[in-house]
Amino acid sequence: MSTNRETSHDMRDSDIALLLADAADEVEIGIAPYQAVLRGGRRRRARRWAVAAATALVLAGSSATLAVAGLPGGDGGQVATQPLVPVDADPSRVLQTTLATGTDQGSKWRVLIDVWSAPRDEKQAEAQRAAMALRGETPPDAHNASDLIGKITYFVYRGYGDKTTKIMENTVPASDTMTGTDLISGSLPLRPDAKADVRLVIGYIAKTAQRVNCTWTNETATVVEKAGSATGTDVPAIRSAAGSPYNWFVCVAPKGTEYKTAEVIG
Amino acid sequence: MGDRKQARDEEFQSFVIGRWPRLMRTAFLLTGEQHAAEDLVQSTLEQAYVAWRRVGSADDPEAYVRRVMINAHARKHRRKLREFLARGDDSGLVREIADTGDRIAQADDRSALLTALAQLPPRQREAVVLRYWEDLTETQTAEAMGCSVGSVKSNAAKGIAKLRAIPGLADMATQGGRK
Repeated sequence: MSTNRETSHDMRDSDIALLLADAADEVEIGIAPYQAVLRGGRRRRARRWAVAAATALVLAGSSATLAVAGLPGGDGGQVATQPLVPVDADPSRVLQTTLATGTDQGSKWRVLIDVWSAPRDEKQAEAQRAAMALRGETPPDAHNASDLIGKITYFVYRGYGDKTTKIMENTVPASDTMTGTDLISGSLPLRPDAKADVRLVIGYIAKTAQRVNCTWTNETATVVEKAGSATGTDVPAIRSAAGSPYNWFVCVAPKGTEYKTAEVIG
Repeated sequence: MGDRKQARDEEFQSFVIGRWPRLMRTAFLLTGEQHAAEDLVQSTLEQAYVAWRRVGSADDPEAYVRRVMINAHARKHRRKLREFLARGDDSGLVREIADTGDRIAQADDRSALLTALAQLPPRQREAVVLRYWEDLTETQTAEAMGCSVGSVKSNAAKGIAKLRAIPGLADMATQGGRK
C-alpha cells in the first residue's frame, strides 16, 4: 500500500478501511486462470477487427464515398504498386496501398489501407486531423490533435461491389514494430451484407515474416508468401503498405468454408 | 525475436499470478459478488494481455490495469450488480445489530457492508474502494477513475457518509474488524 499519499484518509475513516479489508477477505481467491486469460486475450485481439467492422457499418454513410473516391479502378489483375516508405512523409497526405483484390460471385472486391504518417508537432497534427476529416476518417481515441503527435494512424477498408466499409482503425506509436512470428489478424465476412460466412482474413505481421498459413474450417489451408515486385493484387500475398511499420496479408477462404486460424510459419 | 515474445509472455504470466489475489479482492468490493469479480478481473487481464507489449514496459503496469478494471466495471457491471442486488439479501441496511465475536454475526457484518457498498452509485463505490481499500492517493484514484481530484474527493465523501448511515457500523468496526 502506498505511503506517500498527498492526502491521508481522515483517521476517523480508518474503521471503514478495516471493514473493507475484512469484507474483501470474503472472496474466494482461487488459482489465477492464466490459460483462460491468454485464450481470452487472443480472442480479443482478433475481435478488435470485428468491433471496427461494426463501427464502420455505422460510419459507412460518411466514409464510404470518400474512400471509394480513392479506390483504384482495379480489374482484379493490377500489379501492386511497390509502396514507398517515405522517410519524411507529409503527415497531412494519406498514403494508400491496395492490399488485395478479387472477384466473388461476379462482384469485385478489394482491401485497401490508408496510412497517415506521424505528425511531429501540434501544427502538423491539426493539419492531419483536418485532412483526415475531409476523407471521413476520424482517428480512434484521439480527443485532441496533440494525441496524434508521434503516432501513425491507419484505416483499412473492404470494398465489395460499390460498397466500401471501414473494417479497422488504429493509432500506434511510430516506433511500433512486430517481431518474429507476431501476428494480429481479424476475420469477417467478405460480403458486407453477410452476417456469417466469415471468409476474409486480414492481418499484420513483422517485416521479416516470409509466410503466413491461413487454415479454414474444412481443414484446408492457404499459404501466402511475400509479394514480389510483379505480384498482382489478385494473388494473395504479404505486402508492405506505404507508411506502415508492419507488413500486411489478406487471405480469402474458399466458398463454403470459413476462417479458422492464421499464423506465421516462416 | 521469438525470445523477446517468450520473455514478454513470462512477464505477463508472473504479473497475472502475482496480482490475481489483490485484483480479486478489489473486484469483489466493486461488484459485490464472487462470479462477477472473477469475470471482471479476467476480462481486465485479457485487455492487459492485448496491450502488454506497451503496458509491460510502462513504469506502472498496475496503474494501467487498475484503470482498465475501473472502466470495465463502470461499463459492464452496473446492470449485473443491480440484478444481483434485486435477488440478494433482503435484510439490507435495516437488519438488527448482530452479536459480535460470533463467526456468523461477523459474516453478517461483512454482508451488510457489501450490500451497503453495492448500493452506492458506481462512482462513489469506485472512489471508496480505491481510496480506502486500495489505499491510493487522491491523485492516483483520479487517474484510475479518469476524473478530477475534486470529483474523487466528493464521491469518496458522499460514499463514506452513506456507509456511515448503516446502523451499528461503529460497532462493526470496533468488534468485527480486520482478521
